[in-house]
Amino acid sequence: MTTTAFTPQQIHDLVARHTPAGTPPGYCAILELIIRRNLRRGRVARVQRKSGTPLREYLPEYVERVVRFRREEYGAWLRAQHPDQHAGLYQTLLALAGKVAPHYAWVPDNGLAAEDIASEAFFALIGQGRLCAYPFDTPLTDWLRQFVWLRARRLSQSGPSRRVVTVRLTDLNEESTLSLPSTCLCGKSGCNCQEQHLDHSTGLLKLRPTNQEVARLWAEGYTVEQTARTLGLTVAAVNNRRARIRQALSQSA
Amino acid sequence: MSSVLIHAIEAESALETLLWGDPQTLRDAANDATEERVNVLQIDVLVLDNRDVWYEFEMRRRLSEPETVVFVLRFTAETGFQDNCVASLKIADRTFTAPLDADGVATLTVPERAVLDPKSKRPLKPYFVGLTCA
Repeated sequence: MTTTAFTPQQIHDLVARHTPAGTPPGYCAILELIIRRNLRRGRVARVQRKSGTPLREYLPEYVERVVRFRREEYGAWLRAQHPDQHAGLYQTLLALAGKVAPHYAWVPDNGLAAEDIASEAFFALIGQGRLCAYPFDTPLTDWLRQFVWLRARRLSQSGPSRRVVTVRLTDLNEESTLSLPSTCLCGKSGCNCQEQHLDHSTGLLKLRPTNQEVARLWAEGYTVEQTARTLGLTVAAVNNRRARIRQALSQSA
Repeated sequence: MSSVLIHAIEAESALETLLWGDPQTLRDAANDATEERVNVLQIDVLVLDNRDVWYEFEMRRRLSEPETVVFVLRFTAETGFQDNCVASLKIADRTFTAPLDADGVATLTVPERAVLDPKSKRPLKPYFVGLTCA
């Protein structure tokens, strides 16, 4: 977490200075929260470094950017979260991924496919709610492009995220027929689940809450040890729970 | 009735940083010669009823009340909230709820044992922040 020397009052004053008179207080309050969140997450510092201006001098310019992009991109950002728009969002990601994929031709097993990159990005944005992290300081499409690059880099690294399985969007309780690769739930190192087609929403619902949580972390690529640490369980307990999850999923599939 | 519940991962990391160690660490967090110490754990957004609802998630420790931790969730929406919204905070398997006041603030008083694992002395996880509006 990045701490800053800016107080909420200073942010409030800056926002007041950069918004037209008569702007509703609720709207200004949201702008302030966006800026404070971006400061905490180090986003402002990263953008500021590119500008070459010291942070304190850069902040008014940054506030202006957030005011502008909140106004211009809010509708697109909110629409993209709606299930009706998910197919469109996926197509956008696929187009962006098409330009990224050639840069990852060096990855073993025929490089990264644009579909894999787009699906990984889609799963993170919608399945894991990362679309909420959009910082409103750059056009949404530019941010999505950066996001696709980051997910491609993640996919190119070794580890569980390279093991993909096709799951249906019913996992997300949405009415869509779109399929996407996600992290494999087979749980063996080096396993290849690419040809499996599982719809494990029913199976997961049968699980106890803690096991659902273990399954969710598993799908996110947590190791047994990381899962144990996160949920306060022993490694043996996580292994046991994974066995039960595997059993439940194989029954539902 | 609409409802949303999201995993507050950033708040978990912030708590890990603040509360690592034994229960004394938790108490020390409030013990810097001030009666109350406030830490902002997370600022984030959730989408409810096709609108964005922003929230600030704070932890408050009072020197005079070492057995409890007060979590404050301050929600902000452009058009405000109706009267009957309830905030929830799920820590591990326990859920704590509180209604939103006129300013969109929910205050949840949580026993220290629900925040720190008595065995490992580490913060219990995961944290989920939720909002339900009738």
